[in-house]
Amino acid sequence: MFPQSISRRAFVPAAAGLAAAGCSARAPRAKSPVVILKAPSYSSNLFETMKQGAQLCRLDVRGKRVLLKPNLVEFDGQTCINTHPSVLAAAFELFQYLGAAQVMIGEGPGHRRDTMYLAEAAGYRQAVTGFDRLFVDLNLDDVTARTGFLKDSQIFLPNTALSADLIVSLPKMKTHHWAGVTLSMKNFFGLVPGAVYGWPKNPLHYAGIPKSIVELNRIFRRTFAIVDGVVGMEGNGPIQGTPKLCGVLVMGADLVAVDSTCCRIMGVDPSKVEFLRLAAKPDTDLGNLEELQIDQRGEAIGVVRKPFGLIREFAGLRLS
Amino acid sequence: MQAKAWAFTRRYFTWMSLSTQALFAGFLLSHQNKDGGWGFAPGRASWLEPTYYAMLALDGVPAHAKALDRAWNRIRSWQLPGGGCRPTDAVDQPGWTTALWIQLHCRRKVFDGKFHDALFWLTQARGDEGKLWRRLLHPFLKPEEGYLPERYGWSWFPETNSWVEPTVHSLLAMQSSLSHAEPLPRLMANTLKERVALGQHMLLDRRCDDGGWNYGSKTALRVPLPSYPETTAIALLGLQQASASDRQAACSKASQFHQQAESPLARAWLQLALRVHGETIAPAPDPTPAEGHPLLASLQMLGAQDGNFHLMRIDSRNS
Repeated sequence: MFPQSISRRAFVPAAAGLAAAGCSARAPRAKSPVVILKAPSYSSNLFETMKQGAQLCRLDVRGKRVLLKPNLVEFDGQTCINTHPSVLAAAFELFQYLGAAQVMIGEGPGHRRDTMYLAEAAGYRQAVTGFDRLFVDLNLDDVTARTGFLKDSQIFLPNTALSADLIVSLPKMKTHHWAGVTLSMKNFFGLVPGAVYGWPKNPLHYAGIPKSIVELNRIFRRTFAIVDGVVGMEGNGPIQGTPKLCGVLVMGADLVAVDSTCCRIMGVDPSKVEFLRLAAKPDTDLGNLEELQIDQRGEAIGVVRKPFGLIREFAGLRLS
Repeated sequence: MQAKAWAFTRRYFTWMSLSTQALFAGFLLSHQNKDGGWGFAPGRASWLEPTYYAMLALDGVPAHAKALDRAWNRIRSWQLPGGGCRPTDAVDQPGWTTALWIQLHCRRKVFDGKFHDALFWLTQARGDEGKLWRRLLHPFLKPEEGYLPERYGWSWFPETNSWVEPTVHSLLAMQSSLSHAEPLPRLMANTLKERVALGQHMLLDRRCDDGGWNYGSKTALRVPLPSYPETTAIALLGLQQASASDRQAACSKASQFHQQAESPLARAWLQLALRVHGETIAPAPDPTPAEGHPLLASLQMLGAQDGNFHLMRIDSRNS
């Protein structure tokens, strides 16, 4: 379903090069800093909390074009599907404060076509001054083909995301009825344009959700994550679950390490989550999954751990 | 430059106290790209979908003829060698917008070789669940309720499942072709009729428990899904030849959504679909074109009382 973009003739030397590269010794990956900070409610000073997190991560975004990517899926006033507007507003303020040349906000929801309505309903337009000017509907953005998706295929991606110097994933900490959990890596499904692939983005499901998550994260490597774990969602997420008060923000540049840390907070074993296992495999090497490879800063996991309810299909993911 | 032109147009039309239709037409004409198409936002690349809706919205007014001819040339340029159509220049893969391309050809009564290539492409396209191996495996895969693989429709993108919206547009394309592109070879006409029947069954099978439509499934992991207003509106467009009771039930749900929906895009699609079915729309203040949203403006213009909603009605002569 994703078009092939490499000829057999081109494949042979490319494969030989990859094999040669694979023979060389791989340098051990340095520990990845991941910051856990308490954020008891959305009325707490999230900007100051994030500022502290950015300092602990030694985040430098001066002069960069930053794209904030919240998780805006669907609106239901009775539950907590989307990244909270206070988290988005605080992140926007943070990256301006840190000296980014430009801070934009972009999202391509997988379930509804009227993205601006969702942004209004979710409170984003009220939370961020000048939202309409800053926001790009990634479902309808102009696109460019990129090769390298699923190794030999091409994928069409929004120009706004491709041209950003840094994409900041701002997911909600949630369970997911197909992937087990949805965090900063899965949030990149919203970078895939609905105008090409539809609503929902079914080719990603066909290619395999775990594989698609990994491939998108392989394409978008200049990233940072701030996970909204103040109130997450447990059970039948990402839409029909129930709110779960967790009281944390989790931040870091290694999205595999951030998501693995979130899993541990949620009482989920990250090594049993397929997309994280794939992402941390030596031949993929997107980031660190093991606790020993993560430089945990801020709060200890044990202090903030709040096991999330899991649906029967994912009961086996429970951290023992 | 375009923004300035639109600001001028808005002032001009307001001063002239012309109809809402003229106001919307001014908005659309001022946002037409130089290449003849429309983008999803002003100044962005042209895409087939917003160009399709803008062309229908502007149809029938002699003063728009020049703009429509430019748009028509743009539309024609999006067909790929295999007959299917790309959604925009940057994408070199055919997909669901082929159905929109065919509908515009029916409207213009252009039934040349390119039209037949596109129609053939559409008959070959199908939701992946319609493939034989999927149908054989289906009973062993814990199927979702209402998901009958032998009753498939069309996908957004090749080699994926059937979904409501591409299925509806493909139904409209095939029904329009049967009505207008006479004489179709008998084999082709029979294929179209067969696919129309299958597609309508698919739509009805996948209606949610609340009477409307989600994007393509009524359950996920056997948990019922809620319907959405815009998908319900689009499904209604595809049910023009369904039974009276099915149409009535769908119109009733769409009317309920129309009274409650806060999304302007959903309201515009609902209004259009309800008018196509001859339903009475509760009076509401005339909308004004949303800045930066040509697709929404086209839908609002099409669904207005004096809009071109009738262009989306299917003539049932041959289908």
